[in-house]
Formats: sequence, C-alpha cells, structure tokens
Amino acid sequence: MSLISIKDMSFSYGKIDALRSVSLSFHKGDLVGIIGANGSGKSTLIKCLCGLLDVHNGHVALDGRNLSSIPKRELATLMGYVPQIQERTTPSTVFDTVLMGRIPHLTWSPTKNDLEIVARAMDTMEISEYSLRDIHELSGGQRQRVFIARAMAQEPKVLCLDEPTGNLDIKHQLGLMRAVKWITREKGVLALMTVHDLNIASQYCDSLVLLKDGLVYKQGKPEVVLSKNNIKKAFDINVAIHKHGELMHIVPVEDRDMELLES
Amino acid sequence: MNSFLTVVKKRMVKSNGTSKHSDTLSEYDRYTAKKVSFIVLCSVLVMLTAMIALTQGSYGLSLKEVFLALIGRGTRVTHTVVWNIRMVRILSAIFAGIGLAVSGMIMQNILRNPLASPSTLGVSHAASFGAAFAIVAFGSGRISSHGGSAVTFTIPYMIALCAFGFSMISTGVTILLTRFKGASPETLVLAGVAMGSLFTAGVTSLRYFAQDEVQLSAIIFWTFGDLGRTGWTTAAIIGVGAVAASVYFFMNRWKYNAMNGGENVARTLGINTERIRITGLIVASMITALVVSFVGIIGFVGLVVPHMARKVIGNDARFLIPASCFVGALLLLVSDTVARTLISPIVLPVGILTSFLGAPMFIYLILKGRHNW
Repeated sequence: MSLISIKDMSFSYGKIDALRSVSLSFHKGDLVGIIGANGSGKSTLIKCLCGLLDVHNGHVALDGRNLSSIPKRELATLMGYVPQIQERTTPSTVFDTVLMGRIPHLTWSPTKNDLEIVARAMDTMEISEYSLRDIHELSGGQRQRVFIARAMAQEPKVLCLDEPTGNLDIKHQLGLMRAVKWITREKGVLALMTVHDLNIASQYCDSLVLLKDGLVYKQGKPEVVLSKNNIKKAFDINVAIHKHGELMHIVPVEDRDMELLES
Repeated sequence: MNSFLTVVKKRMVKSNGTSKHSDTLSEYDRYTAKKVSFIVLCSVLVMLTAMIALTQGSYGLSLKEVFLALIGRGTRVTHTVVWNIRMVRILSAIFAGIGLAVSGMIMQNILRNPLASPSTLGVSHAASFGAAFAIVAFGSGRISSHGGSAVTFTIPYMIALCAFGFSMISTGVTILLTRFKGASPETLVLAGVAMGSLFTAGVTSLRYFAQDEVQLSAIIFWTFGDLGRTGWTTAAIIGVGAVAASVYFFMNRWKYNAMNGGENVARTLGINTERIRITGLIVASMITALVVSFVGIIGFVGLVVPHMARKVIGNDARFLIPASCFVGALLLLVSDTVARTLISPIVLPVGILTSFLGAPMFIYLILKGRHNW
C-alpha cells in the first residue's frame, strides 16, 4: 500500500492556481525528486504535503488517513520538514537545534531516550563534533545536515525537503543526497524533495515527478522522465543526454549548437 | 552506487559504537548544568541584594538588625523600617523587574526581534496614557502623590484597566504589522517609536487639560517610574501578575524554542505559531500594563535584561525564562537601591536611572546588528 496517496489535489494562492488536479502516490523507503521550472508548483506541493498549506480541494491520505484530519502535533511525529538554509532563525547550538525535533514527542522535559535519539541523529549526520557550536558558525552544508538531523529526531515516516541543495557547493550537494538516500534505505523513510539539478536528481532519486504549470507532466523512473522531449517541454531548453551505463548526463545545449551536435 | 554502499557500511559501523553518543550526551549535560547554576546564582544574588537593600536608606541599619527584624525579633523602629517601608519597595522592585524582563524576553523571542521590548514597541507609553486617561476621566481626588499606600482601593483597578486597554492598542498594531506586512525588526521598532510619541503627546495634552495640581502630579507620576509609592496591595498584585505570567511562559517554553527554528519549522513541529504569538504578546502586554499602571514607565529593563541573560546562557527558553526573571529582579533592585542612595537624601525615580543605563545599550544593540543576539 502506498504511504501517501494524492487524489485530484488543487491549490491556489488567491486567483493564481499553483497546483491543478494532482494525483500521485508514493511508497515507503523511496527517494522522490520533484522537478520543474520555477513557479511550476514544486514548493507548493511540498508545503501541502507537510501541512504548511491546507489542502482545500482534493484528497491527500497519509498511511490511509486523511491528512487534514490528523492533528498538527501528531502530524509532526509522522512528517519531518527540512527548510531551506536561508530561513531566518535565532542563534542556537547544534544539539539544541536537533533537540527541537523531539518537541512533538515531549510532555514536560526530554527523557534520556529523547537525548539518545538526538545524539544518534547527530552521529548519522556526522555533526556530533559541532554539538555545542552555534548553527550560524557552520557552513551551509553542515547547517543543512543539522536540519536533516532535526527532522530525523522527529522519527517521521516521511521527510519533506524544500530545495535542500540550494546554495550548496557540488561536494556538499552530493553529500546531502547520499545522506538522504541512506535515510530512505536504512530507516524506510519516504523522502520527498524538490531538486533543481537534473543530473543529481537522475543519479540519486528512485523516481521523479515533473511538474509543469501546476500539473503533473510526467512521473516515473528518472531515465523515463528525463527525456530530451520532456525536458524541452517543461523547461523550454534543449539538452543532450549522454548515457554511461547506469549514469545519465544531461547537458544543456544552445539553439545555435543544436545542428553541430546532430551532425 | 558502489561508493554509496561503502558509505552506508561505514555509517552502520559508526552508529553501533555508543561511546560517541555518551560523549555528546555528557558534554550536553555539563552544558545545561552550567545554565542551571547561573540561574541558581542569580536567585541567590537577588536574595543577598535584597538583604543589603534593606540596610540602605536614611535610617541606617546593620545586616544583623535587618536579620533580627526579618525574623520578628527587631525593635519597634527597625521592624517598621524593614517591614513597613523598605520591604514593600524591595518586593515591588523584584516583581516589576520580573514582569518587565520576562515580557521583553517573550516579545523578542516570538517576534524574532532583538529590538522588541515593552518600551520599544510603545506598549509602556500606551499604558501610561491609559493611566493618565483614567485619572482625568474618573477623577483623582483620592490619589495622593506620596506616602505608603498611594491610592485607594477602587481607583487603581480603573487605572490598571485603562492602562491595559491602551497597551492592547499598541500590541494590536504590532500584531497587525507582523501578520499582514511581515514587518522587519526595524519597522516594528519604528512603528513603536511612532506610537510612543503619539501616546506621549496624548499624555502631554491630558496634562494640559488637567483639572488641578493633584491630577497633574498624578499624571506626571506615571510618566516616570518610581517604586516608592507602591503599597502592600499593589506589590502583591504586581507579584501575582508577574509570577503567573512567568509560569504561563515557562509552560510554553518548548513552543518558544520551536519558534527559534523559524516560522515553517515551528509549524511543522506541530506549533500553532499564530496563536502562540498572539497570546504571548497579549500576556506580555498585560503584565507590562500592570507594572506601568502601578509604578509608571521603567524603560529599557525589558529590552536589556533578556540580552544580558542571553549572553550568558543562550536562547533556550527553558533556561532563558527563569534567568530573565532573576536578572530582571536583580537589575531593578540594584538600580532602585542606587537611585535611593546615590544623592541621598533625595530619592531619584528609578525610571530615570534605567533610562540612562538602557539608552546606550539600545544603541549598542542596533550597532551590533542581529547576528548573534
């Protein structure tokens, strides 16, 4: 059975339609990349799923339950959210930041078990050595790991990441993708993330959802979704695709170079 | 994919070793223990300062005399000085300090704004306008401007009610600006300054229209804070209010912590941020109004104290709430004792002193920016 199933979901900001009758389903343990041009509805989709936006039209089920009927606090134990690193925060140490992830589980104060979970999440994200450093002293890549550790401390079934690789250099982008992949494999967590880099999406994601103007344009395995034709339609750019065994390389090509490439 | 699998294996090995966990955890234990000892230290300092403050004044007392009077073995004179004159003032300083500091801390936290406080958001001035309005509108014949219990029983509630009502206006403006305009910290403070001068102008015009000298002096009284005119009843009301507000804030400490992570994070942690922000601002304004309506405007305590506490123990609301309370009590108690004794026998209103201390600190905060507040 699918962990999340979306039927005919629409969302609009005032009169502007951001998502139009989206129907999708996602499975436990998958890493799903959501791709599409700016304004295609990627972030809106993530925000609807993690409860930041209320879905008015359509039906979203999490583990068979209607998403909007789940109390927010309970939802926080099922769904972890990793923000963009630019979001405004106040100074806080790494440990205290990860400890926030236990808040939905707390009654009065953190138990030994809560602290253990925090320490373990920090270990897996390899940030234990910065435990008492302020998160603002860390690099973007390290801070992103802190945010993922916090979401993991929630012990969720689903992890939502909103453009997690934005502002990271290539090494940290790969590190982040590896970390998220590991979480999906080891913990059986479903991870949904918006991705800009198509190569990275093809390399790490189990499946992709390609959005265009608020509609699901294509979905499925990366090698199916990322065809020259689909990319042309969704992003309005020409690309050349090179395959090396399992790996795909998508290279943007200028119009004037197209003939050169074809000849 | 091969490199990916080796990474996975490496991680598996690592997460089996528990020694690293216990290192992290014991390090964190020491870190929180330090914060707790700071809070304990502050509470002890409050008590010691209170003892010393009891000895200070025009009628000099030794610590021994104070102690004897406290346990009920003093002479009639020392008993009167300690219990009837100084104790009320000292308790008022402690409770007003707690109330102002904790409301400043909460305002800064929920608005994620280091410049927020009852005085910078215009709440204090609005409350003082409300007090002045009540004096003019409902008469002040029974208010005397000096001596033990300053005001008779019915009027202070009317004044407190009006002070609260008007403080809600400036709180409302703050809420609307944050909610619909996503106002930046600087904008909020500018709006606060605007409201501050608006209400100051209001107070000035009420002064102009005051019926007699008693009304006039009663109005002026509220524009600068003075702890000398509280009685046991008012001290008790401030005390109950400040402690109740602090307890309420402490109960919600995890929610404030979640809000440190940013709006979206807090909401996905299951926090109704809108409700927490509005109830927090209302409770903070209520306690500010309560303090202002009985002792007048004591500026900058609510702004400066949370930053002092934060500097030592960080942003974690679990510790910052009690720490702000004790540091606030300490600061106001020390300031008031200094104000009483600095140019003795003249007793300065403590509000003047805290403004002299607070204004440079405010400028420092603006210069330092918001990076590590």
